[in-house]
Amino acid sequence: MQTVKLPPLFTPPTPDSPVPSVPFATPLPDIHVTLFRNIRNAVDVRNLVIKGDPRVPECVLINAATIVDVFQIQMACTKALLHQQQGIMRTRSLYSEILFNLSPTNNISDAIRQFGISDTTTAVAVVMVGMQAPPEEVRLRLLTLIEGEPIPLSHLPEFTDLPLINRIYKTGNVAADRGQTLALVVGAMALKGHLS
Amino acid sequence: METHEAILIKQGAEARVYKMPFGEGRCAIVKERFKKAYRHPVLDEKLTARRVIQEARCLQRLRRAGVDTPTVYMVDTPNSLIYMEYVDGSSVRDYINSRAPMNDDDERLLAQSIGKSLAVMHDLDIVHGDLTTSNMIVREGSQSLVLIDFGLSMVSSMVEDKAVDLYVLERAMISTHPDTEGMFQCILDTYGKSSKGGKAVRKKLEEVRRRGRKRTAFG
Ligand SMILES: Nc1ncnc2c1ncn2[C@@H]1O[C@H](COP(=O)(O)OP(=O)(O)O)[C@@H](O)[C@H]1O
Ligand SMILES: [Mg+2]
Repeated sequence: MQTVKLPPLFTPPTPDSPVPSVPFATPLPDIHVTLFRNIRNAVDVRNLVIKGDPRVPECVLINAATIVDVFQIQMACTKALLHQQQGIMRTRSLYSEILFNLSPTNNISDAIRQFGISDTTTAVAVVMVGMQAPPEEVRLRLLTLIEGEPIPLSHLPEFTDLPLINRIYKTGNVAADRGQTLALVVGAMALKGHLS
Repeated sequence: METHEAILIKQGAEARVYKMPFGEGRCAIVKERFKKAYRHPVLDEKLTARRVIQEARCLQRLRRAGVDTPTVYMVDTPNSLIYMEYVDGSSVRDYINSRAPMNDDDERLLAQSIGKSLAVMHDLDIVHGDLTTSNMIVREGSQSLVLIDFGLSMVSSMVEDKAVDLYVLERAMISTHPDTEGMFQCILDTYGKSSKGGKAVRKKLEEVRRRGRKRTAFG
């Protein structure tokens, strides 16, 4: 499990008093990411997640093939927390909102299908926002739930499916390298539903 | 920049621009478009939100078409904010001024990349609305030309609008940089060759210039 910080949010000062610097509001909670590979029981895990089974800790499981860089996950989480604060979430929970935010469109079921765990998924990034229980306990629960191999987050790029990503985000042929792809992916997430 | 605050770097008429740290190894620019108190509040909020999205959408459409722009990180519509990549480099304005007189090769390369970027932009029917050398950045390292500030942009396929866009740049260059007529000519030549409607826009530009001269002569 690796702790990842989220970037700070900017809170605009009152309109008519321009100030040279603006301090950040209370920082967002850290996120904790665990990467699993060689998952053998995706079907079972998916069913338990759908049922909201109590054996599944509060988290979101992201299909690692759809991730170019952790920054993509950080942006999805930051936006989910921002929208939670603002009371404008589009889905029922913070965790489904994270999956929704990864998507370039406003279709919730498409987002869950594309970015969540599916029957054929073999690598997932498990993301928790904040920590409700002692880390060791959470780790054990994840290991019980997921039959697979937990590996360091630094392996994330190995699972990126660039053709899949280019299809989902319509990055076109410009996205020659990873950096360009990441820029287009993050931009498409930011402009969700506003790009023709 | 190890700060725990956002630093105001520009207070404009429509927007404030801040620079802030944005997680490990990243800095962001936050552009806040503020609401105008004198307009109808509800209408104003809708208009402001639309402008914010329009600005961010231009950045993304251009990037997707291969024109370098800051990556859009996040749009916070309720607060009228765009979070975008902080581009490390110098504005074309400073770039020209720091090199005056500019080496012919540097000048030609810069003019060509400006001409190419503007051609792609106009072919997407994006009219910038405020083309100046301050709204272009030369990236540190790659030297890539980055277009910024689509706060006054509009979507238009009109040859006239595109010609006026170029005319604004021409006037801005003449007034901020002496001896850049040759450079602007080079921008135009590249633009004319690269843009689908390039010839028509250049022709229209002649007309816009004539009108401009008349206006300054009699106005
Ligand atoms: N993405 C960016 N990276 C680096 N500097 C930027 C960026 N965006 C804006 N700036 C700086 O802030 C200034 C003002 O931003 P701009 O978007 O042009 O707002 P305005 O509409 O007030 O001119 C720019 O001239 C540039 O110096
Ligand atoms: Mg500007």
